[in-house]
Amino acid sequence: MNLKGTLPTLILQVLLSGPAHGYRIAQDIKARSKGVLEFKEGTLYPALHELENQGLIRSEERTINGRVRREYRLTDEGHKVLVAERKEFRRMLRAVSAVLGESS
Amino acid sequence: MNHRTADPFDRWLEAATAGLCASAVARIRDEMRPHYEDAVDHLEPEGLARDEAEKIALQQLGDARKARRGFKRSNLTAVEHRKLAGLAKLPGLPFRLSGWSYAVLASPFLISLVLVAIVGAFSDDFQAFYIATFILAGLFSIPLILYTGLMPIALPIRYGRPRLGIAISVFFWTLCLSASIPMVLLKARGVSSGVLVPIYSLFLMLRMLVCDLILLRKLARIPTTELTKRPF
Repeated sequence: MNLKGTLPTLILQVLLSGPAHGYRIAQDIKARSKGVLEFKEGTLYPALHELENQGLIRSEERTINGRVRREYRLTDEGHKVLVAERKEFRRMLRAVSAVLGESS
Repeated sequence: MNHRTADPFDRWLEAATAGLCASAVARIRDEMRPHYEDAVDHLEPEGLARDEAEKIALQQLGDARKARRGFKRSNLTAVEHRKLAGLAKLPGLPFRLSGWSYAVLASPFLISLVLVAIVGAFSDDFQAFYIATFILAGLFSIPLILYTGLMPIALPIRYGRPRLGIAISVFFWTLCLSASIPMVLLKARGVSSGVLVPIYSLFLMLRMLVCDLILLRKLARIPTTELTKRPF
C-alpha cells in the first residue's frame, strides 16, 4: 500500500514508543502494519531530515552494537503534532467509512 | 568516490547525494551505511548469499533519484553552501546569524540595487549609465554564477524538471536583455535617463530577486541551529 503523505505521521508514531534509528523505524512500520504498509527505505531519511528541520524530532549519534547510529527522538512539538494528526486521520477514516457504507 | 566504485551501496549513495554539500553527504553516508549493513545482516541468515542480500537491501532502498529529490529539499546543496560559506568569510560579519540573516546579507539583489542606484544617481546621460550598468552586471556575473546565478536552472533540475530550469533561465535573461530595446526607443524619443534608470534597474534586478527568493524559501526550512553548526 502506498504511504504517500502519511510517512511523517507514522515516523512520529513509532518514535512515541522511544528513540530509534532509521533502520529500526523502517522495520517497526512494516512490522506494525503486518507488511501491508510498504515503502522504499531510501525515502525514510529525507522524511526524517525534514521532520528534524521542522523541530518535530531531534537526533544524536550513539554507538549501538558497535555501529555509530543517528538516533531520533520525538520533541514536545512533535508530540503535539502527532496528537493533532491522529485526530485528523481518525476523522477522515470515519468520513471514508461513512461514504463506503461501513460501520466504524 | 567515482562511477567505478565497486561497492553497490556507494554507487547508490553517490547518486542519492549528487549536488549536496560535503557535510550533508557525510551525514547521510554515516547514517545510511549502518542501515544498509543491518539490512544485509538480516537477509543473510535467511539463506541468501552475500551478494544476493546486498542486491535486495539496495532494492529496499529504492530509486536513488527519488531519494535525492527528498534530500535536496531538506539539506543544503553545494551551491547554496558555497554562497553561505562565502558570506561567512567576509570580514566584520557576525558569524552566527540565522538563515534569514545570511540570505538577506548575501543578497545580490540588495547589493546590486544599492550599486545601480549609485550609478544612476551620478549618471546624467544615458550612454554612461548604460555602460556602467553593464560593467556592474559583468562584475556581478562572477559571484552570481558561483553562488546564485545558476539557481533558477539548478533548482528545477534538482526537482527533476530540467526543461523548466532552462526555460526559466532563458525567460529571465531575455527579459533583462529585452529591457534595452524599449529603453533605446524611449531614448530616441528624447526621454531623459532619469526615467530610464529606474526602468532598466527594475528589469536587471528582477532576475536577482528571483534567485534570492528561491534561496530564502529553502533557508526558511532549515533551522538556525543546523546552519550555524555547519563548518562554513
